[in-house]
Amino acid sequence: MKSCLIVDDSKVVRMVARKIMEGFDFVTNEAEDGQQALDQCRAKMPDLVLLDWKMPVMSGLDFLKEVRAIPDIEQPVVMFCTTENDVEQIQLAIDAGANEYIMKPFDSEIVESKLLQVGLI
Amino acid sequence: MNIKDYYFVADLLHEHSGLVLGEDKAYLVQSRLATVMRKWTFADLEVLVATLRHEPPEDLIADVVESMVTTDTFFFRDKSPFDHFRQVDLPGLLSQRQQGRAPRLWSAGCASGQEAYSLAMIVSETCADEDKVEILATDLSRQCLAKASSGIYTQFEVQRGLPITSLLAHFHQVGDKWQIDEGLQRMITFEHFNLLSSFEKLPTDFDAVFCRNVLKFFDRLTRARILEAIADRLVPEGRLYLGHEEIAEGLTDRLVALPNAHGVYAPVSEQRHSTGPADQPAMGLAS
Repeated sequence: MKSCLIVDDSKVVRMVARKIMEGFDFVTNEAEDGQQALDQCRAKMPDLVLLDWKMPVMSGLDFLKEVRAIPDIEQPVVMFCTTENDVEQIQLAIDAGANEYIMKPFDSEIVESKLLQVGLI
Repeated sequence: MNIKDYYFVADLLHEHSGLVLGEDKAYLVQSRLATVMRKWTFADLEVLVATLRHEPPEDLIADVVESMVTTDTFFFRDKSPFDHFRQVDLPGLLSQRQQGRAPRLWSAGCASGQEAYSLAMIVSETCADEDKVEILATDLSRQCLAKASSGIYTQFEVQRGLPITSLLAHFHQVGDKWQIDEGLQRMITFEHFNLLSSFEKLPTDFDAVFCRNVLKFFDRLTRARILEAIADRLVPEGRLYLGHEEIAEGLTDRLVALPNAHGVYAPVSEQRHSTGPADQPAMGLAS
């Protein structure tokens, strides 16, 4: 089974995302901010990171830059899932190495479509 | 809604659009007719159906039929047909174009336009001079065509099937909506067309026809008739793309499935059927 790390400071969003990802047969883990996510990735890299942008301690964008800078590892697919929906911010995320971008609010149809885009289902 | 009214509406829909309602669609019919009922300020559904039974205005029939049509669609639906078009068919078409012939594509049953715009995006990402490819997009629903022509989509719609890089490349933000670029809009001619009607006004030299997730709503006879008519409209090297649940086998011997390309068909005969008066202008596209 593929693994997904869900990174969001909202417990409710994490719960919704977990149910959706489990529906696509992913094993899920959760983190409340970018630093927690980075620690988990250093311990065991997931196949997919579903990533919020604005979080305490470390933002999603800073996490992405950090994870992309880790050498000699199989990089995860990183998919933002955020309310930051301006073109400039989306472009910033793509330039930093995001593979896909989900604009909240989201549902399982959108997640399915994005998972197809990145070849994870 | 009583069963007699339900079957009357089902027959009306079939007569005017060829679409077939299943046995278990009473709730769907009722909820969709409620919208028409409100628009026309009928007191209830029984009054609406009674009006339909006795010399109904054409606009009312059109509204009822439109309300029943399934219009759900999304960009690059099922992905693989569009990959096939991009990688296999389009390069050949563009090389024809260099010999002076503009490739012609048809999105038949285009709903709110995502399929046609997906094709336009592929063309613009493949060649610099996209104005030389002509795309006709037709649908029964005038409401859908109006939306398609506007090229404006919600945040939900642009997240179904569309890669984020394509969103950035081909759309710009207008408030909380997304507007497709003018260059892509210029490639497409949106026209009202009922697949039950005569195909005579359509061009006879389409290089590719996308009629995906449309035929499945018709009965067998209508599917066969539409497939034959499309075969007549394809160039000998043309391609027909059907939806994943749709097949031409057993309905016509004019089309043959391509190996290793699910849902892609080629015409088998070069013999062309009559195309009507030669001086009749072709629909939508410059002939």
